[in-house]
Amino acid sequence: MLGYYFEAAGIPTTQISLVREHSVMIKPPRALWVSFELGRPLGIPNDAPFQTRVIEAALSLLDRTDGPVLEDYPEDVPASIATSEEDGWACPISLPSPPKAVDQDSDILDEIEFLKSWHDLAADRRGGTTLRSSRVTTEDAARFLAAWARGETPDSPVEGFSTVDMLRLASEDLKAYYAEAATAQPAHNGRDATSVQISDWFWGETQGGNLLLKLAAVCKQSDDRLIKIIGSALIVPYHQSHRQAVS
Amino acid sequence: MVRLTETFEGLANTLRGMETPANPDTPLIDGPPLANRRVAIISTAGLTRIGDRPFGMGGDEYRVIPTEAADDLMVTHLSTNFDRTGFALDTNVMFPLDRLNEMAAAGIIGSVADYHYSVMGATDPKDLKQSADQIAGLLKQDNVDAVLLVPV
Repeated sequence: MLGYYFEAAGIPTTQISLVREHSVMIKPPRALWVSFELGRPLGIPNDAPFQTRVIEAALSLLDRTDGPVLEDYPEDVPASIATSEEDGWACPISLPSPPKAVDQDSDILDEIEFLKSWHDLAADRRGGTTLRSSRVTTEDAARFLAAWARGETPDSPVEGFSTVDMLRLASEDLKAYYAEAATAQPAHNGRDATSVQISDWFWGETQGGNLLLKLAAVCKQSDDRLIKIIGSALIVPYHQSHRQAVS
Repeated sequence: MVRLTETFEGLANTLRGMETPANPDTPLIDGPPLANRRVAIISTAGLTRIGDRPFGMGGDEYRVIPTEAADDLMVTHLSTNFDRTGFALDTNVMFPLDRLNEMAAAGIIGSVADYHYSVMGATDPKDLKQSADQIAGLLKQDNVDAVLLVPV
């Protein structure tokens, strides 16, 4: 749909498409369908030649004016990178304790401290961090979320962000902190952890994941419509929604 | 491969309910050979510069990403259902500006735009028309004649 707005304004467009059935229905002007997972439209992180091939294929569609054009990109992400079935990646860090009830802040704060050197290593390698959307430290984000998970209702600590904004952004920052710490881990048998393995580790084995599971359950019970939406759909990914918080 | 049947019901229903544009067979805009084109990225990942306003629920605005700020981005898309660890490893897997710069240096494309843009892909595209029109005006000022739309 966006493509047509730009074409109507006289600007040629091409796009990458992640859900083929979607593009079949929407019929964007020019689309290159790729078989990659959601969140990785260029396929493989830190693989410049692979990413360049995808872009070249998408841009080559600009030669076509007989749209709508929907081409299938022939190259897949190799199974050794995309799947996690062969070997059991286990996060090499032994966390201070298995997840427990969100009774006190110290459990989550200890875990954050424990992961700090890994997080900072990831940020150094990457040239920056991907979090801070909530504009508070990871520790303060965790304290705010833990209070809500215990049924308290503190206001947003940041001027300009509503409590609803803060619940969502602080949750995203906490997830990003763990994701970055996990991506800094040494490869196992020469393979980096897949996105699914990191997600399973966070939601199944960490106090951070447990805190967010509990928070989502509490928000779902809220009388506030927006907080209820956050609890129902915007904290726990669909593929992890079978999990229950330890309490 | 991502199939609608493998995504969660809400997303699948939203996608199924989207309307096809009225005139999908309208001839598309032509342009010069790729080696002479100026390329901009428009991402629907809800990307913002760190410190810029995050996107909120129903956000129908856009954010500007100057070329020099591309290492300093965060994802503020509403959905929790796509991978963010790839982005944590390498911004280019979602916003491939380094690749475009390399392609410009190699003469594969003409040049890279000074400004790129992001919108919130969770917002109904009909509500993004005003932002798209504004972005189109800005792209023309930047002499852009190729837009690479990148989803998430």
